[in-house]
Amino acid sequence: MVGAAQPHYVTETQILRRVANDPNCGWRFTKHAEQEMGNDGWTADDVKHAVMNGRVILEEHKRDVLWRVVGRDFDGNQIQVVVAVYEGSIKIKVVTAF
Amino acid sequence: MAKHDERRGELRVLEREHRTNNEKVESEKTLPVYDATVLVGLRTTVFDAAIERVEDDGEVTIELPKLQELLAAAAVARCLMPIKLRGAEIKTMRRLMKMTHAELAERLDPKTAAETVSRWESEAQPMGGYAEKVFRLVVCEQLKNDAPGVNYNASMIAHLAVLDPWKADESFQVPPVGLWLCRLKEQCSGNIIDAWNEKKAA
Repeated sequence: MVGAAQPHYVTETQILRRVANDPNCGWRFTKHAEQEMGNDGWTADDVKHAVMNGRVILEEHKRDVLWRVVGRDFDGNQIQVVVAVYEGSIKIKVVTAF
Repeated sequence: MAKHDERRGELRVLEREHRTNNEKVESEKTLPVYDATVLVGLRTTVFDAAIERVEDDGEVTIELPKLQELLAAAAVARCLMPIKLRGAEIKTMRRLMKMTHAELAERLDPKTAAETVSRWESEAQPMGGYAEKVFRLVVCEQLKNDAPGVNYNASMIAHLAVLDPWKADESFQVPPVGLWLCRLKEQCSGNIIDAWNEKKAA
């Protein structure tokens, strides 16, 4: 069975990985993200790992352009992270993780 | 044809625009004290370094500078604290070292099973005193390069008299590791670097 075509955010994933893997990348966490991470027992390192190796599956245009990233932590558990990427200043804002 | 190319050009510009966010910071301040326990995964307090930003729509974000180094410094400092490690702390440190259960088991002792590491982390089985010292040593040796501001040498682990305060008080909480960002001169290169340094209680 052929399902509906899914967009492949190849370019977005490349940009995300380039910024996330930059050693000078600044990571910001919203209060909401911090709360969600605390509830699920994820640390900044888990979220970073998921983003650095994950792929963009959805783009949302809100106040920022947000990318939903699906990735995995070190133990292979799936994490979805919503991020805003600031390519110019090499920053990633983690909006939420679930 | 020319029109088509023009249109394609426009699309390219739009594509470029849509993937670049601009920062919209209203105010920014460095917090004198910040509880970084959730982000680090170990009880950690950061002094004079966490940057709180409020954006123009009121959204508040926290940025911890030199995040990877902060995580490493917190782990090394916790390993030098003479209080028994809890399962969640062992798990955080293993992940920080980017090791699976099997890899950590192999590193500690080839006879250690991956399942044993898993049981330590879930506190289904206590980690023995010898294994815990070896584990602390593995963590510190693996992460010390990212934590140059934390005073560590292997003999400190060897001389550590680890206490188990939970035997007397089940509600005991591990005191937080206090860290602040300072400037250090590297011994080998002479370079000035920013490093997380342990803030000892007065």
